[in-house]
Amino acid sequence: MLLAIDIGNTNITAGLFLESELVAMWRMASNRLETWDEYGLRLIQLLERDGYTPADVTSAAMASVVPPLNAVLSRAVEQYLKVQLRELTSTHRSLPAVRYDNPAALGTDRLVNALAGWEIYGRPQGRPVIVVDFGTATKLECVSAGGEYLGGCIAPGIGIATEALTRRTALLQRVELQRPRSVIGRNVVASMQSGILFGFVGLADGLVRRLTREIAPAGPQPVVVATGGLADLVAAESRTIELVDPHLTLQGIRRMYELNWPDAAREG
Amino acid sequence: MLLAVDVGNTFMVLGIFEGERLRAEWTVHTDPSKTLDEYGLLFTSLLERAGFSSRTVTAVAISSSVPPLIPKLEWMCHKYFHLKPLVIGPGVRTGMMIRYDNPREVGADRIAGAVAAFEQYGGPLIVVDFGTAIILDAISARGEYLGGVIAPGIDVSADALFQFAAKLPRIELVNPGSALGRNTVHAMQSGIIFGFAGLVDELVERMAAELDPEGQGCKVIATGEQAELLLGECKTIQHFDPHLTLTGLRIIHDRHQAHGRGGR
Repeated sequence: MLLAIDIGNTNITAGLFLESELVAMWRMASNRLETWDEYGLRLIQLLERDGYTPADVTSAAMASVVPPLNAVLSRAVEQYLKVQLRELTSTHRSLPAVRYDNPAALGTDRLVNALAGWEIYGRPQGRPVIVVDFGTATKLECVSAGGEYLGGCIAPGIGIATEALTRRTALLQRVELQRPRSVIGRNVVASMQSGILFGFVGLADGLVRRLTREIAPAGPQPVVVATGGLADLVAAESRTIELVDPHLTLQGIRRMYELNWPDAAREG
Repeated sequence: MLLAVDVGNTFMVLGIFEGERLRAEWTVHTDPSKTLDEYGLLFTSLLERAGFSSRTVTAVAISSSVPPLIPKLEWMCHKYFHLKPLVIGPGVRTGMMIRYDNPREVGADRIAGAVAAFEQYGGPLIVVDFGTAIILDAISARGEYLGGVIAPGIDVSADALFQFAAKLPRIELVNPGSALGRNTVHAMQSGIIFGFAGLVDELVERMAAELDPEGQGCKVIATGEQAELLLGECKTIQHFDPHLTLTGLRIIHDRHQAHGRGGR
């Protein structure tokens, strides 16, 4: 089975694939202070708790936006799971074409999202795709119906923007992110819930609408897929998001691994 | 002359009024660790360099989002201007009915902005203040403050993005022209500028639907130092008034004078 690892700025997400099916998924904090022994041990414990053994893992691939953690995770996987962790980069095979000024500068996390969005939703429906990832950053990727990566946007993530607001203002307090009863808040907590939730809905919808006008002025309208921790909450209020796929990034890592190491993928 | 001081979380804006006319204004950064003498020296130097002796200041009105600075500024006014400032806060009559669960929770700057906007434009209206936070306030047709929403500000959010995302560069916040970014700098400029334009438009539209369900015409006034970055991109903003809070402080001060009240 393939172990797919997505190293983000806030979380490390690991998923176990039986062919194209995701059979287990775990989330850990991205902690640059932890060692390979700590990550290795944790991976084994998580596998075993879900009824797998380290020997079930026959291949491993990662996409990372935190370079200092790459070597730590590589060593953890090699020492504890006894397989090589393949690092995916933007120069590996992915979509049929990548229209980016410098394709090597495109984050791997963005490319795997674009790849999965196109393969799972765009290509089967013959439509362009816009993927919206609500992570540490809010990232949007556009792919044409034919599978060309067209570009995208990077905006602040809901969590970090809210955290920064709380830290920088003397009067505001931390709030639980949930839908308030009305838009106009009559206390600070309700006002922040409203501003953050409806505000980020507007941020995502505004960007999707502008991107749609630029990539699909005519012809089939893009499928808009959301992923990432807070995707469900935003999608419920959004007027552009069609569906939520929480496993899009892991699916993209699996697919990109198969494209680049086809023999290993078949044996796995 | 009246010296109006709006203390925000990041910046402090000062304005000197002769009657209703704003003669000069200054922006300094908010630093709670500065002493009252340092503030006194700063304020009087700014005034003097612009040709206003500190003796011409006959009143000071203050709104503060940073409560610990209030006593310091009160002492500073006492020592350097020989007067007791009007500090907008609980117990000070502003002429605006506050429909908030706990009226003490509404920042004085928000009330001042609401007072100025209603006086100048009439209601129903929405004030959008672009600062450390993006704050939108709703004022009814009858001039009641109804509440609002608070979202993270543009700079604060952009800084957080540069800080937390290991691989992203610090960029200059300028309008990139098109949304589709084909390099990281363009993608971030687009995400931040057009993203926040969408954030503001969505909040205005949803608030207007509650404030003015019949769609009779709700005015939308923007203020704050970062508003200009988004003015051309937000469809919902009708007017930009950079001095809304200072004007509100002046109006509240004038109402106090008319009622024959001193400070608080």
